[in-house]
Amino acid sequence: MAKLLYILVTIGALFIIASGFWVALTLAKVVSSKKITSKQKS
Amino acid sequence: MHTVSSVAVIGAYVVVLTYVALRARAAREFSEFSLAGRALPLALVFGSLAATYVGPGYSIGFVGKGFRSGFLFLGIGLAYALQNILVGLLVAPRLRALKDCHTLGDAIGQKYDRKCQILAGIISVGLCAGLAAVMAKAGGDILRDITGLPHWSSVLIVVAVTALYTTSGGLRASVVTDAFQFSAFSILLPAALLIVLVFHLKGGSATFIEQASTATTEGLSDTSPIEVIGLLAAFLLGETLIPPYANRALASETTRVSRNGFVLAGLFSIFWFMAMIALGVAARSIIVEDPGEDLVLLTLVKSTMPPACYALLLVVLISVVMSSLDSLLNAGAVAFTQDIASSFVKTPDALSIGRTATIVIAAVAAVGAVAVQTIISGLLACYTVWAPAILPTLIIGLWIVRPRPLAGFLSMSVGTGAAIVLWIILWLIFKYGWPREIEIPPLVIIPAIGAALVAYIVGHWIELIKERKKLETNSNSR
Repeated sequence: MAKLLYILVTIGALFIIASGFWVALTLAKVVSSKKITSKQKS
Repeated sequence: MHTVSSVAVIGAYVVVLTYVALRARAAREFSEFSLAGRALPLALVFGSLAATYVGPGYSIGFVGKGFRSGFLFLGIGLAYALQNILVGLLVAPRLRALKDCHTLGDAIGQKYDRKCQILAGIISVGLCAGLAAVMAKAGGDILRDITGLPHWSSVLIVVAVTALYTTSGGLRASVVTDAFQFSAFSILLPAALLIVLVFHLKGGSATFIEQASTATTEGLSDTSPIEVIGLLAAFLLGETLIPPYANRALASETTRVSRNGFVLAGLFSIFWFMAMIALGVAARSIIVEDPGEDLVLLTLVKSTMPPACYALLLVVLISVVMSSLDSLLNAGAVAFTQDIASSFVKTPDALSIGRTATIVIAAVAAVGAVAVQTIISGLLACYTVWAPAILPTLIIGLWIVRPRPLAGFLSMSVGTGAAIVLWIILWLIFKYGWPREIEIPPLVIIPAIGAALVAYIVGHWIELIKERKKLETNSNSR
């Protein structure tokens, strides 16, 4: 049980880092392509 | 040498952030300023939501809580995760589906009437200014630690820089810089945790588990069940759909993106709280003297990382603050323009009003930062008023077929009043009648929501009676 907590914390940290890279990659695409347009979508 | 590398790291970070902010471009019309053209993709909605809620409270504050009370606050944080997931599944798609809706006040105005929208706008602007003051205080604390400048000038710099790009680019600049800041802190802070666990924690997992167990036991014995219930309520309801979150729900590309963004942000928060608390727990066996809750993270990083890494992490912590601050400034300005000013100005130049409001709210936040005692208590104080003031009216309004304006108006007025009055009464009791150190806001939230719900039912019932009488009069006159 105790070991499980330690493993969970480590996996959680890796998951957060992966999320950071996902958002960074999307941001890079958006910034380079100016995907955020001024068109109103409904 | 250390100073040179630190300055180089900080300089590089500022250059990239400035580039990203400039690429967001200045908003040319109000719909860009308020909703970024309603075209945000999932990753940006998720990253921006997470960057907004991960402010100083959920980073510096949670590390301090982990240091003092171990994993007790993870249980409380789970209430927050649940709230985000429920909002994603039940509320965000309904909000996004509303047409011509820029703010929560707009949503309330569409469901009730104009008076309710103005009241919702006043509450939204007040909340955004209050939370922005907490962020300004936290940003000032960190910048003072880096530069040694006086606190007031550190606050001023953080607020001025944030206000600058938010005033120009509106929500689009806020979301784009949030995404950059999210990437920075979500890579670097967990990396710092892994480095501490692997290289600095003597005894490895056994020490970590021992410290976690001791701290959690201490936390449980220091916190009464009523405080735990109050904190659970505050984390479950207090931050629900505050204006910056609602703006992101409204600005999503589609209703599906809106729903998934909130659900993902909720799941992310579970791992985030776990990581921050783990940093606090690990710090117990590294930091000898108790530095005070808000300084645990800074002290830990200072004592375990090389100077350049410490400098980078400090900049990242300022990013944590700025990403929340910019969202609050923008949401407050949009609420002021759309919900309040448009009722009183005949031909409003919405974009100029929005920009001016951003600057005014930023100035109020900088001045108000002096009054904030600790980050967590400041956040709890704001949540306590928000939940009873807005949530019953908003959520019931989105779900029932014909919400009555009187019900919404009464619920918002009574909810706000009850929260403030109960708070004053409890403060007097714990100060003079039964002196003890206790967080008052969490104790207020449930009874104040109860009062708001009763007021809603009364208002609804009064209008129903009026409508029936009117019908009877009409049928008699025929």
